[in-house]
Amino acid sequence: MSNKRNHERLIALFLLGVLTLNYPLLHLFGAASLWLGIPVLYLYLFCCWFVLIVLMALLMEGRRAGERDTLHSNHWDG
Amino acid sequence: MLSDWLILICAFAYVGLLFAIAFYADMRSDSGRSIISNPYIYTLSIAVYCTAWTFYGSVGRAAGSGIGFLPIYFGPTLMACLWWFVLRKIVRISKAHRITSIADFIGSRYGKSAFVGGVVTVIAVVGIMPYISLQLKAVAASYNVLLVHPKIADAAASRAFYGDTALYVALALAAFTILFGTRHIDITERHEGMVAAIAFESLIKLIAFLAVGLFVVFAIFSGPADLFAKAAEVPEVAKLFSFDAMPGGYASWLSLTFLAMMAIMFLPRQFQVLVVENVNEEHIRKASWLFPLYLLLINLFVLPIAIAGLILFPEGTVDPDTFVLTLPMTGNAEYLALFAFIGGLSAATGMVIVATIAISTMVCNDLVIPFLLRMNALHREDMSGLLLMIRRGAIIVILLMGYLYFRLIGESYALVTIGLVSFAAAAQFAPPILIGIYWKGASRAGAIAGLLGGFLVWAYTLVLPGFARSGWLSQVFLEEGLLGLSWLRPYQLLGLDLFDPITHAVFWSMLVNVGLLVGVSLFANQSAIERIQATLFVDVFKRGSKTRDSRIWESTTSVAEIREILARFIGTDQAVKAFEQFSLERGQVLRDEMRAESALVEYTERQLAGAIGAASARVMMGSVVKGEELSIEGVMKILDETSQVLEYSRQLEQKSRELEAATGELKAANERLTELDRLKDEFVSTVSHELRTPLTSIRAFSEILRDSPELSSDQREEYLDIIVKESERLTRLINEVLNLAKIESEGVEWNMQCVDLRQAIEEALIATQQLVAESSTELIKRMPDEPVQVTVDKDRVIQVIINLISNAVKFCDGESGQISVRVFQNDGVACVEVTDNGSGIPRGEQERIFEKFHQVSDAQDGKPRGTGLGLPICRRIVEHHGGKIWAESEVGQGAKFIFTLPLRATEDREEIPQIA
Repeated sequence: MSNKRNHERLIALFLLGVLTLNYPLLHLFGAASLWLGIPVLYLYLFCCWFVLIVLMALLMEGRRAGERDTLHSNHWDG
Repeated sequence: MLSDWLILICAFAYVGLLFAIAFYADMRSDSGRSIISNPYIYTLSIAVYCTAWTFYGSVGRAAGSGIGFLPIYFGPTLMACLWWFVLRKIVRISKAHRITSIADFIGSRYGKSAFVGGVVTVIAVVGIMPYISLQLKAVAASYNVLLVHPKIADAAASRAFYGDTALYVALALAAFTILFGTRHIDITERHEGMVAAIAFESLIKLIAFLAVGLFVVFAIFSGPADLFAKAAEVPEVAKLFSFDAMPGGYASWLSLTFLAMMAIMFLPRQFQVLVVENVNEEHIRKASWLFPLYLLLINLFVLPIAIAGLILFPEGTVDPDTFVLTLPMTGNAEYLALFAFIGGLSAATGMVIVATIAISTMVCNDLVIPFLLRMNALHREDMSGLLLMIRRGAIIVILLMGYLYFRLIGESYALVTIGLVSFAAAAQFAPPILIGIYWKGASRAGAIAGLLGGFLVWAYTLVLPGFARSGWLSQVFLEEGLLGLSWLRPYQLLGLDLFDPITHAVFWSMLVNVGLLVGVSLFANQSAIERIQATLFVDVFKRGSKTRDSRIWESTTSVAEIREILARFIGTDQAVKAFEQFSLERGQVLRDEMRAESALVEYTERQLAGAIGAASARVMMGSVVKGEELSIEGVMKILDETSQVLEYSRQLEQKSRELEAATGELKAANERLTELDRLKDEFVSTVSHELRTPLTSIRAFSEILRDSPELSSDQREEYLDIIVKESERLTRLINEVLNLAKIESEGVEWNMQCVDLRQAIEEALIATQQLVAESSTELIKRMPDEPVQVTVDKDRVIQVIINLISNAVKFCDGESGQISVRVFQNDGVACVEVTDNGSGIPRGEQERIFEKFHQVSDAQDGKPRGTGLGLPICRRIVEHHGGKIWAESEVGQGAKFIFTLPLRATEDREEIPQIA
């Protein structure tokens, strides 16, 4: 059960990544301005990237114990 | 300034270190204690994705387009989100089918087709050329930069080939790869030593790049704020901060992201490290976030380095692709530059090693071997030597072709642009794999059409223009299209001029590839083996790990012969080991002269597939095993028989279930019968006993009368009285037994009619008048004024009332006895109460008195006063009319018998208004 839910979360994360790292959201930060001395666009992209990685790590590592059991008991088709 | 020999010594020392690592890893692997079996090494080995392109080219790209280098790393990050589904599935399939390369995978999916595998191999070889040339160019250029700094290195390709560093780099890399990757033929086709070395290289290049980045930002400039502030002052550089610097805009951004998504999975070398070298599926879990993290770290300083280079070097004096080296040298950190050079060398060699190993395996397994098999040219004793030779030859050829590409057009493009051409080629593998593992309908014909179509579009829109721009072809066809047809212009096919060349090529080639794959598949017929393979691939998770191979052989070949075939390819020792493994798993002894059963043939084919690829293994076994591969009719027949047997067993099961049910019913019926039989016996014995009691006394008194003439007349009278009474009792008893039997057997006819209960009671009272009068009991009747209408058999209801009244009389005490009979309506039923003030019935007896022959013994004389059948008969009658009968009593305070009968509903409704 939690296994399936986690799969849905992964797909949602993928879509979130596609959205935040593309037009039109990207356009909001496309101007050549600085924030805290760092180009806004550069800052935005790396922050998004980092957040994506953190979320991914949480999804992948967080439910480890519970998912393993279900993995062994049935072969979920990916 | 660094000297020639110092650079070379460092480079060779570094390569020596790599060998040591690889050798150690192989040793550990042979002794069964793998050092690469953990997610961290797996992640680092995936980082072979970051090549010289990343190390040098990203900075160059950033210098021209700002954040334009990033989509190449966002793509893999996004793809990593889906790894848990897609990659895990591919890995599972590959393990089950012993897939050794991407060509093997696609060929195996489409019916173990050697042709499909061959097409994929050709695309891979041609597509990877630019990429390898990129690495050669990077290594050669970086060496030259180190050597001649601060002068500007001249273009390597303009020199004579024997003076060209790139050629020597290519040859050195070829030797290196041969030593690494093709030491022996292994049935798993995994290279633990190589993976360990690659992982180490990934670590080195990350550290080197971060070191350069930190140096530039914090040593040359004083922190990022300072760097960006200085950059903002130069309008040319400040431009890079905005998205507008990205050539091709958002469309290009999107297409590059897409390309990178495909490349991370389907570049032959990525497939090699992600799938073939994967030790454990679970490693994907950690890699899918650690690898993006690696990418983030290695890209963190790309833009700062690029900006710093642009600020420090006057425009055009230094190639931005070399900023990673030239910036430390400008800052007088020559050893840091040397370290950066080693990092770049790591990036380049890592890519070249893995890519050439992967490609040479494909060339050998999917091009050369099938060809030789077809030519019937494989009759040597030891095939493994030949296999190694083919692979080594392939490695040299591939690297030399890479060099050739570099010589031909390498200098006209920046690193990144060359790399993207390869990415676009690798993307052609995405549709047949991704569609193939989720859609069973994808057919061999569709895959071939899609791959060839996509490949041709790719070559026409990216490779040919490259040659043209380098001056090897006429530039005219770029401007005016092939044969002067303007709609054939390679950068504006059909006049589509919205995109930059890469996006344009990606769009058209993907459209053609997917379109043909899907379109042709929808109309093509799949052969049996295609259908089987498609199902095995798509349903790999449903089938679990024990995937059965797809074909059934009818073989007449002996075990020894089969083993010999295997030995020819993987060596005798390994073949013997493999067969021992088989008999161990199966628990059966294999004797040489035994006929090889189909399981063994399958097993051998799978082992062979590890060495020469699935398609080749299939052809090989097909040509050697003397038996026939079953025709489709044969397979269908076996399937039919199987399904028939299944049908029979299903029917049998159903029958046995029915039987079980029938047995259960029979058992229940039997129990009921036994119970009835027991009841009947009991009944008969009780009846006979009851009959014998009066008979005995009649007989006894009759005998006394006959034998004793001297008896007084008074006494005679008394005895005769007894005889008469006992006879009456006997008659009554017999009547009641008959009555009960009749009611119980349902043989009695019920004469149902509408009756006023009051009238029935009156009649019953008349019938019992004598009895009541004799006992001097007082009888009170209480009845309503209006009629109580019920539909009953009047005579039987009267019988019930008589029974109850005579019972009451029996238990009353003569003079003081009082009996009341009451009729009333309550809740839609008619109730009749017969109350006495006799001795009462103990609570425990109140239900049992309705059982047959149950008699309440008189507390005073212990003699029964009735037949024991009256109340059971009453109950039968009342229940037959849908009513109830019960007793309420306290010992010593009399008893009350109540029975109910349903009222006659319809007449009620008619009568009530009349009364009202």
